[in-house]
Amino acid sequence: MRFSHRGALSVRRWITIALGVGLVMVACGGSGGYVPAGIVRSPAPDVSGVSLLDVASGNDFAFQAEPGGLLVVFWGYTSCPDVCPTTLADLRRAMRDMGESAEVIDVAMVTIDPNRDTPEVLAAFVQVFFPDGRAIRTEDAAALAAAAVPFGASYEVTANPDGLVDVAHTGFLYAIDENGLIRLTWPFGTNSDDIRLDLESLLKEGNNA
Amino acid sequence: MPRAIRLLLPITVLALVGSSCGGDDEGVSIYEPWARPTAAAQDTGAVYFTIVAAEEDSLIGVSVSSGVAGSAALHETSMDEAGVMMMSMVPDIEVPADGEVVFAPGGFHVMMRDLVEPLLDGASFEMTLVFAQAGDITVEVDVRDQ
Repeated sequence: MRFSHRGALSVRRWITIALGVGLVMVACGGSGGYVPAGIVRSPAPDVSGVSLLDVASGNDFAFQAEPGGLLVVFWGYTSCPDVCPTTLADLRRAMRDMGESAEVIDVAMVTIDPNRDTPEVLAAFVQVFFPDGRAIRTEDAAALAAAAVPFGASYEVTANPDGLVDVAHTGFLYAIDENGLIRLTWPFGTNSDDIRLDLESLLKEGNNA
Repeated sequence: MPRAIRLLLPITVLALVGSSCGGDDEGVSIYEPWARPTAAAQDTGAVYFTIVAAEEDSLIGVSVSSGVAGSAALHETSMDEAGVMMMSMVPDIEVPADGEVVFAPGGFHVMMRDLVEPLLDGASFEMTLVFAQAGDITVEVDVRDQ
């Protein structure tokens, strides 16, 4: 089976928008406005209707944070030696540096490679980084592709004749609020300090809302 | 430019200004080889390090003990304009005279397949890099978080 979904959203466009917003704020004096390192998409994508299974319960996972908290979601696969462990390690460092305030942040990983990522493999991988992290998986290729749309995730998993599997995928982290809205999207390589500052800012915003 | 975007720029060869790197006056030195710990379920791992060369050379191969992984290869992660990341094998990597090449997350790395056992934090293992001029260089890779 071949799993693929090519997103229509251009990341470069988000980046351009984010840059533009940042420049405008600087030009206007920028007093008091926090400019996140993550990308702000407008309107904020709503992933509350996404239907994928939590491997621990076998039920649909709710892509919504606990009230006042945040849910950070990563789309990846476990046979990924570079991008995926790096991203999860950066997120873990950001949350460790936050201390107790990170307790209201949940983490979930959606596998784009369910053929190789069995429920056991996926859960073990996620929990190395986050003991309470949720492992999200479906074997229904259409359901996975549909779920990728509001996230703006894309992936292509191709088994070669030589037995190797090629994977191309977006390596974003998504910060989701209690309403299921994606508030920030971090590109691969975002520094853990920047992730921490963004998370702290989102939590502060939420508490003041 | 957001820091995140700058980090996305390909990590490529950086020319050294001066020659204060403390390594040998000639040949090739490998600095800080490390690998991230892996979960029991993971079948792949990556090794990162920095190559510093006094004279022009070319990294043409890599191996690790069969007790560590089934195979090892030189890889590069790259990203297209839509933000899609992919890995490709690279046959060789040029190191310029008085130059360095950085193997780091999101760029060049040694990809290990079919890990025999999980890489445990605090452990170490041997890796041999093969250079066209300098020949085989074996280093001790530390397993640590970053």
